[in-house]
Amino acid sequence: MKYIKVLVINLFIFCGSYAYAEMGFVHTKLADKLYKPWGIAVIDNDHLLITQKSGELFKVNIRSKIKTEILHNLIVSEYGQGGLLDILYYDEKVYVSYAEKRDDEQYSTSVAIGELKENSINFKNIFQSEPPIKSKIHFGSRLEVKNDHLFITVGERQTGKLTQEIDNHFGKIIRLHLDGSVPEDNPYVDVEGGLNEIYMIGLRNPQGMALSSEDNEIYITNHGPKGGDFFGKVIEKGNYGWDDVAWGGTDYDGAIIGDGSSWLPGLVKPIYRWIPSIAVSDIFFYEGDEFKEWQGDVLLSSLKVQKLLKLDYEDGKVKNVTTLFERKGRLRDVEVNSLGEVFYIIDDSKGSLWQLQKTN
Amino acid sequence: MFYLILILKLIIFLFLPVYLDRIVQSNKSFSKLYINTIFLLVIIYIAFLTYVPFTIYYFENEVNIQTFLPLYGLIGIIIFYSILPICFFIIQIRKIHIKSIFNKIFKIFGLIGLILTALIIAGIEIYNFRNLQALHEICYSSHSSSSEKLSCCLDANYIWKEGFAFSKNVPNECEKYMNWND
Repeated sequence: MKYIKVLVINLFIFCGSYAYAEMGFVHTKLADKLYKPWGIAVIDNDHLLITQKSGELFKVNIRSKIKTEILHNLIVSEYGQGGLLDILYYDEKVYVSYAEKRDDEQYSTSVAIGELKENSINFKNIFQSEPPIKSKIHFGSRLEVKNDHLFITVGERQTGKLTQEIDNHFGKIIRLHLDGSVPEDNPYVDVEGGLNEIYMIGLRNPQGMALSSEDNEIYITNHGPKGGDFFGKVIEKGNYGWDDVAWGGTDYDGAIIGDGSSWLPGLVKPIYRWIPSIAVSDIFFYEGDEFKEWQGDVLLSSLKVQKLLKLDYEDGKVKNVTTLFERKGRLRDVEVNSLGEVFYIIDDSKGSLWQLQKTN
Repeated sequence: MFYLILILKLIIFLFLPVYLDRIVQSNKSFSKLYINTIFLLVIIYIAFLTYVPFTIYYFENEVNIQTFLPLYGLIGIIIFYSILPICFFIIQIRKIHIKSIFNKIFKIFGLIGLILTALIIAGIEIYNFRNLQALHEICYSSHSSSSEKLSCCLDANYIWKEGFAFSKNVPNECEKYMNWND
């Protein structure tokens, strides 16, 4: 029976169908031929924006499945793990994070803002991480808004110990006003030598961020090294401790990090950890009618294990972790529109955008 | 014990070409082509052990090993592992009609390649062993409240002061110690 089911599914795919059913879900392909898609933003209940790492930006009509390229003025090209990365649509403005070439081979995680007008956007920079360096990895780059403040995750760019210093943006959570100006109540504004934009320190590569409407707090996911991926809360002036601790992980060559502690006094504790790593990507606190039983649960996409997970998060603890589905591809981003419809992207040179629905 | 096994491994590796050559000399039923094919496979296997796992890690994780190893380094490795078997192929076929000076150069290159490879293997193994020793010290200092727990820790693939974890398939008797997320 199992083989017949697999055969039928494969036949569907082979015949060019854009949907298949598995484990109580229907996966509907909304767009394909995407080159390494990285971020999804919900414009309204009918339209999404998608970024490609190579710099292109698309608007997708999820009802008609028509994909339209949005022209823009940013000069972005793929650079290691960098390129055009996350995208956020808020209050009719479009925010994007990207790896910006500043000088000769010196790149930073930068954020730009623009307005979508007739399928084009004229972006202007509102944030550049400092200093730009020659490193192709760990750009971080997720964007989220809370109380009209823009939060940005910046990766450590292989700088290790510098994430503990406040004179740079490596491994930090950044908090800005929506126009890019610095809030006066940011925790390091009055600290000598500290960069005013910094809100939290000590991260490695935070590639997921979401706002919970239940407690109005921002949560992140962070890539550990070999082991030590985690889900945790953003705390003002908090420190997650990289690379004095590795949250249970070791270096890729097996070498001990710090003294082997996964946590030290004074540091913020992750809420949930994965050892071995699953390569945590984006998160979303589910709200909506499509999957009523998921209210308040966290949807978490994974690159390495290629799964969409659901975290039952209550009273500050993850009570249960459920695998919703497993796909052949790295799940880079997951977003939900106001109807509760779930969308995800598979990050690949032949990437795609999908909608997850219940089987009838 | 580790160092004894390592020395034995290196001796076997260094004398493998000589040993293979002796087999050919003493037993005509083995063709030189057959012996050299085996040796070529051994070299490819070593190349696989030293480089390919890193690239696999790139695809599975968020690590871009190519950024740690620059392009010229990668090209160097490919050339090194391509030249090495060719040199030995020429050494093995003694009746090849080339001028003796080239024969000597090939032999010298071959020997240098063999010694360098042995040094690389020794370096990697010693480095890995020392890394593991540091983690096992954590087992003895933090997870030795019972012999069962200590045994689980020493078998674990991930070790830290507050816990340990396995890559796959947690042994039944170790499951009770795997509550570090509670």
